[in-house]
Amino acid sequence: MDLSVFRQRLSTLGADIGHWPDHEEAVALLAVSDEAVALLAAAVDEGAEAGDEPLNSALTDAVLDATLGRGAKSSCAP
Amino acid sequence: MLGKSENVDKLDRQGWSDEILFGAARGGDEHAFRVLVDRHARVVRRLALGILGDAHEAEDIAQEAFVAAWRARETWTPEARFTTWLHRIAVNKAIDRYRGRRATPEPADVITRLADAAPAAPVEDQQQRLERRESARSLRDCLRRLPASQRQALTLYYFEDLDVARIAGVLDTTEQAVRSLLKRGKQTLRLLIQRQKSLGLHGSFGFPSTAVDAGR
Repeated sequence: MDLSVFRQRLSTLGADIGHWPDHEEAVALLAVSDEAVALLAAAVDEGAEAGDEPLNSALTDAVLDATLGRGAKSSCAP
Repeated sequence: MLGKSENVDKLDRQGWSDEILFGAARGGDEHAFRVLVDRHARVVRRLALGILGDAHEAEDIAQEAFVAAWRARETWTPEARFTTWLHRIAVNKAIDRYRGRRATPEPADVITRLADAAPAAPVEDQQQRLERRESARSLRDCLRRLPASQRQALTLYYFEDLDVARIAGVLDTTEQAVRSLLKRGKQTLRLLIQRQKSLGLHGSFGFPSTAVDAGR
């Protein structure tokens, strides 16, 4: 798959590449093309505004715990 | 629950660019990193979800991507766009997971979709369920052996429920060419299935024989 096909899939099938008929080819392109990643991220971002499931705040907490340590949260408290 | 002063700190940083936020985070500004995670976690998770098709795994990958970005923070340069860097990390992690999983023979989502497409008896016993799953697995194997254009047309027609005109748009070809692909794809699929049957491989192929013979 090349970028032009990737763009066409995005416009016709949307950003959920799991439903593309050539999903594996799309994944292969994403592995090597920053432009494909940027296109997909932009499409995902637009779709997220249209009606994504809410972000699980536990994800943010888990990331902060894993990076800054549990003390980081409490140290921010008044 | 954030403390009042933390909320104020977060609000202060909402207008900052990603690059300024990450630069501040590298300098020890914890609030800046939290704002970055809040701002980008949704897209990172959705990128991973598209590749992996599993919400729990996508959540794992999102977490791993942020942790990896944090650990590699000294390698990021302010000239590079933060999201380009972060998204690349996330996509690479998702692809690694995806490729590792492909070695596992049973992607549950594919099997479920294929099996659900098969007409099933109203009440199935365990043996029937196993046979249906086996048929679905065999169908998937046969589909993979089709030429890419035939596989794409059949997948869009049967599993995405697109009509011929829509498929022609997706595949950038004519409706006549799509009809031809569907016809040849079904013929090839039927041959592959018959060959597997004659070799005594796998189950009863409830889906392909029924669906293909029914014309859809």
